[in-house]
Amino acid sequence: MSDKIKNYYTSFEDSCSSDDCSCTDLPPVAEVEKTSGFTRRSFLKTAGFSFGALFVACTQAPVKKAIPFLIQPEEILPGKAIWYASTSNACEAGCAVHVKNRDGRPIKLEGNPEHPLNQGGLCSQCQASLIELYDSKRILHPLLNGEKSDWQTVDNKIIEKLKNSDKEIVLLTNTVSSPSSENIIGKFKRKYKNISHVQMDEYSYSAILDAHEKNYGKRFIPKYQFDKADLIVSIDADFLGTWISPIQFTKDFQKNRKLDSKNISKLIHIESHMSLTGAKADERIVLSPSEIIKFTKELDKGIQGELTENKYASKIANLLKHNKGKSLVVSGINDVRVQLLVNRINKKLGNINKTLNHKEVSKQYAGSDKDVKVFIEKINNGKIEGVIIAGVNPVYSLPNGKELSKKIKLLKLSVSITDNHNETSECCKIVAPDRHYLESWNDNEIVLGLLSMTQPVLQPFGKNRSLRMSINSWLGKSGNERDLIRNYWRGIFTSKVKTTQTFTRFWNNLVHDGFVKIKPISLKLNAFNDNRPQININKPKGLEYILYRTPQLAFGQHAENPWLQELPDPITKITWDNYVSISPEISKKYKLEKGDVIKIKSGNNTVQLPVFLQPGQQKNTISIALGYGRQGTERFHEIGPNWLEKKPTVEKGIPVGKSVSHFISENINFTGNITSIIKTGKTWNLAMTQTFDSLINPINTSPAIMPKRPFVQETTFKSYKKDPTSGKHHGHPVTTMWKDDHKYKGHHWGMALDISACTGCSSCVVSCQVENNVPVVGKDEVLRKRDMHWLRLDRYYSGKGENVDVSFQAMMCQHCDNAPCEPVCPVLATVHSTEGLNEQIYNRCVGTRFCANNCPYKVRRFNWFEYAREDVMENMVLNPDVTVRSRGVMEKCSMCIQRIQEARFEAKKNGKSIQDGDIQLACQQSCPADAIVFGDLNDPKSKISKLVNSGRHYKVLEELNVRPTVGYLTQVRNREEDSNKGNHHG
Amino acid sequence: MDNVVNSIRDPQIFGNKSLTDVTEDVCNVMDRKPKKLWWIGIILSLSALLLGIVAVSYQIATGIGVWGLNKTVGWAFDITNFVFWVGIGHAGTLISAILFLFRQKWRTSINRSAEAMTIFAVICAGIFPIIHMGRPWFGFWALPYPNFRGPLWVNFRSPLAWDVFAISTYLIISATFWYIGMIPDFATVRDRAKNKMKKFIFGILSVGWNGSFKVWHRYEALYGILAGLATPLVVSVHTVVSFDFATSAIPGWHTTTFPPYFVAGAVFSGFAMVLSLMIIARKTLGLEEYITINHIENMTKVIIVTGGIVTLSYATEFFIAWYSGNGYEQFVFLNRALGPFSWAYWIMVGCNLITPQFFWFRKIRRNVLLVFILTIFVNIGMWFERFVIIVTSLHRDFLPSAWSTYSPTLVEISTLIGSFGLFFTLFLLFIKFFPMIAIGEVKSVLNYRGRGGK
Repeated sequence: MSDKIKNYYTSFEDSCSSDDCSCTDLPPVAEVEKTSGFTRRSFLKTAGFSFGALFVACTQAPVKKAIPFLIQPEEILPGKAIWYASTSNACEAGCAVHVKNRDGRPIKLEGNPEHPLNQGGLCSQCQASLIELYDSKRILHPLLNGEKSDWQTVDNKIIEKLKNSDKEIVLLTNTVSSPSSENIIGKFKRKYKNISHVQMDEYSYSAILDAHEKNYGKRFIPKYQFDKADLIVSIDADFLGTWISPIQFTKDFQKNRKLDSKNISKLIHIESHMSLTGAKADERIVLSPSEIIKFTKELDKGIQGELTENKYASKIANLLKHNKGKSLVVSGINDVRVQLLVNRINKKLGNINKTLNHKEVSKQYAGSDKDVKVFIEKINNGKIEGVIIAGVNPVYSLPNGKELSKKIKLLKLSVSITDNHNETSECCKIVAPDRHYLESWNDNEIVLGLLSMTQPVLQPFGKNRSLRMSINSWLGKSGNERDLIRNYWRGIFTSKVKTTQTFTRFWNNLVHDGFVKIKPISLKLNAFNDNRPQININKPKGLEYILYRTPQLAFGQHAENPWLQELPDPITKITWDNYVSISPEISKKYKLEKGDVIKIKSGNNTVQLPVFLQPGQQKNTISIALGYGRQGTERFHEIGPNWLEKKPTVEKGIPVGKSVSHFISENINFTGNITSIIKTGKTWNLAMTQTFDSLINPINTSPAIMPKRPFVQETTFKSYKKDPTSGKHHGHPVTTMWKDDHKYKGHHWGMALDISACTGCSSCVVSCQVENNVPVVGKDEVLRKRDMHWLRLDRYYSGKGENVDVSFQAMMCQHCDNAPCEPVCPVLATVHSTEGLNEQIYNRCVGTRFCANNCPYKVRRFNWFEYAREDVMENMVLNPDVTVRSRGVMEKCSMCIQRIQEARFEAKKNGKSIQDGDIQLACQQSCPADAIVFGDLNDPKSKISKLVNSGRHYKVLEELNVRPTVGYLTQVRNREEDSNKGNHHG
Repeated sequence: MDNVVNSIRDPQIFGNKSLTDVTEDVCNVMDRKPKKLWWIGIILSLSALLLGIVAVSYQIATGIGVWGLNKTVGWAFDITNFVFWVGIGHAGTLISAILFLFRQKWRTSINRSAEAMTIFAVICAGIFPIIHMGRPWFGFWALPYPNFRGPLWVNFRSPLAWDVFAISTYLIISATFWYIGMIPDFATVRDRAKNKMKKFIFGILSVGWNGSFKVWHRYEALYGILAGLATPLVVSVHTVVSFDFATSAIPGWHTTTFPPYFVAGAVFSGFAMVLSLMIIARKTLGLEEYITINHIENMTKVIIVTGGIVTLSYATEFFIAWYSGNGYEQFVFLNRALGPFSWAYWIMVGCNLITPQFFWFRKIRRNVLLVFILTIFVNIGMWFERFVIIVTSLHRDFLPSAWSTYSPTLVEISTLIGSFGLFFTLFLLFIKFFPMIAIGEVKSVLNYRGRGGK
């Protein structure tokens, strides 16, 4: 971890009793002059100012009353943030977080840099899950038949039903990775004999688990170690975007992509639609879903030394054989046969326990399709009397959700444990409100041998209760959650934890650090049981479809999150909708254009969605995102500024996008065949934040001199090794008469963005939005090109047809030393700081927008309206260190100046100067690829200075002599020069 | 017939007018009840003005978001209208100041209304920089005045701050010039007035004018000085306005030819507007003998010249884009002609290049209806010129990821209509309540035939 100055508190209850209570850490009150001699001059100055201030104070300024605490809480200091270590339960990946609390409110989440899994990175979903805490539409009281009730009544009712049941009662949960929860569920099952526990994952990884069970006798997901693999072959596993634990994988993946090392890993990705992993791949092979399965079969043949006709398969098999023990083959296809093949391949290549860890296996996903299938069968046959559903939304996410909802309604006992109204809770008689993870305790063993702690950072908003506590009540016990977990660990402390310390110390460490290593249980795997599946795939006649998850909405778990809905899809740049991605071939064949609504039929399933032409899409495959059409997203009818020509984001009572869960096959396979495509004649507006995809000019307006705009500069690893400056565009040198007209004597802040590392995950975009109080504006405003994100992730395509390359370029204020925005402002509302920052003074801005017009990067954002949040409670998430801008004012990236100031005060307080790495910008901190580096350009030892002087560094639009302090590092792909992409440039 | 009659030139004023005739003809317009046509005009103008007031009030109350602008196109109708109206004003100053200094006697019958047009156009123009601000209630921050904020001054490097000086100077000088020029005529009106109220008002306005030799002498001297002061403004104001674009970094704006190009364009559009107005005014007020066909012809000749300069500028821009070897610049101009806003570009080219060519023909120059139609086209073309410069340069500049498009909202269109409403309302009130022809000056260019009374 960087030597960042933070105070990691343990918890509310523990903080002041623990050893490292930092209550004495006083915030810097003001910057103290180093030389404190009080001269005659300074006396006169002070006296003058005081008199001046007196007169000024006597004039206006309305009186605002700040009422002090009656009893000052010991640890809360106004203006000082308190950080708590915790673990996110926003998704099953369970990334470790630091929660920033101000005045008792969590206002920002950051990845825990010391945690071995996410290593400081955090995804957009987790960043955004913060606002769900302040959602006024959350369920905060138990509901009985839809009416507000209380726990006493509800509990009595449930216990009575549990006691008097004669048929099975199913407890359907998401993967339980909490040992204490597992324990209490065991107790629950023992007390009520009819209870059975079924785990399901909304997006199923069951095939991987089942394949491992067949091969090794145990259901588990190995720990994939992308950092140890030199050759990664990913068969439709979007591990950088959505698959299993993308932040952890991105961090690991980047470790073996350090360009200063001799070799970097090579990523070959096989897929049908464009994913983030495909965008990052060194080689991307485009195949339809059925061809992918065939390909896997051929690859297996090639690895086992048999003959294969498939040229890709034989080529990749040879490459893999050259990298025995240093390669990794993964597949995201939820088909046991494919996973068995993948296991065979990895076994044959000797990757086990080298790149595939079978000891510290993942416990993130344990759901079983088979169990779910049995459950559905039982419920259909009337063998089930009741269900208790927690953490999952099967009515939405299962293909036969509609029938399931009818069956659930007929049950005697139906309990939904959820914090939001969803499709499942609507058909349950009892809703037992769950807690947000920021207001509850939880212990998570995400990976065997690694215990992560979730702790509450504020008092719960309502009378809600976690699954654990609900079960505890139904067991007839009482107590608080912390004690429950603490006592559980005290009980197994000696057996599970290999340590010499006392339990109190262990617990305090656990809560303080957020995680602790414990003794893993040995899995006791069987020897590899080879199991070659029979695969006979007939080539489908028509088109195939694939259902995928987007990195922002996943399977709709966070669909009610306005930040995520407005976060543009990293690939398509579309917000507020899902759509059918089609290839240009399909568009030609069916005469479809962007926005045409089509009706897709597959068997008895239909859906109507607008089409979108996706470069890189397999020519016979269409793809549709899961996670849309969620109930509850109707609320976004209200979102956005209200005015004469406003069009609502969604029509009244209509959710955002359409659900395609019913297209999931019965075997929980996310692909299938299309029966027909019908053009409906209707059109739909897709709100995109970026409408031009290419750095090549539109054909009819393309001047001969500029075939391509050199904003993304690209090379191959081989060429880079020969010449670090390779691939760089050599434009005209900038000649200027005033080279050193501005000297920055102290610091000179700068930033470098590594295009090669950036995976486009968009975590930085949300992180910036949370940190800087950037508003959500709604679909209509995005359509009008008035999105407000300070940091936008430009995505460019190069190449043609299926073989396109994708480059991401994070674009924000470039803080030009010769900023064109500064001289044009008539009222001096945008000025340059002595440290090279371009500063925007909101209260001086009159809003002429001249600065935005004159910005070559178009990174300035204007407050067209007063952007009030439609949910007033959500205002609690605002960062008090950042002004909320009123309408008519320009705004833009400030390089998190509040963070720079905080670090400055902290350094001054400690009597030091700011060290490299003391300041972490919001975007930089969240980046799982470590693609963003910020620091002092004047410090020759700083990381940024080294990068600037490395051969890869270039600036966008350098020839304009605006002298940006934000630079980019060339895109380096690990591929042969003469690859088939054909996008070379000089 | 002992009076000297110039047989080579046409008389400046037709109809063999005597001095009394001139006074009567001009003042009668003010005394008579207005014609039906005037009423229709004022009702239409006031409706348009009202629409504009509603639109602007709504915009100020709600936010600039009610316009069609976006993160890439930060200016469109607002600054287009601003530059358009400033440009319109230029003809008035040119006629009243430069033509005065060049002793172009034919200017006398049109200079008063041309000057009035200047002032009204500058008023219309001046509204836009204020309402286009996100927070117009802080518009006064653009003025340098002593304050308690530091003191915090305006940014003297910003062309928008220069605009503030240019436009306010222009308004003050033009209004002064216009008012001083009207004093003798106010005295005439005062002397003829039967209504006490009218006598009182014009008495104040004419500041004790007694028509003595001394007063006339001083008046002529002052008028000459003011003409001298106003003359550089014809060039400077639009030069400063062009700096809004020329000093920027955006291809399509960043052009050193903008100052002369803009000035020529301003005179071009201004003369077209003067012509349109005069043709309406002479028809509706029956002043064909004062604003003669010769006036119209003279003004069309100015249009040919300035139209030529404008055409040359268009060509220069394309040439320099090619010659500079700057790919961004080349793209911007190709995109102008062939991109999504090519329709606007070709309207501009059609109206500004082709229309003036008709004026090479004497028959067309002397056909009032055709001249009227053609000048309307010039006005449309010049509005689109500014629209093309502003919107097409902005909507696709450097980074394709930020490229966007623009379409106006109803509020913007209403604001444009409202500005025309304001302009015509003011102009119609002017021709009703003020002497729209400079009586004193016209008398000096009368045919000597009628001298000495009836």
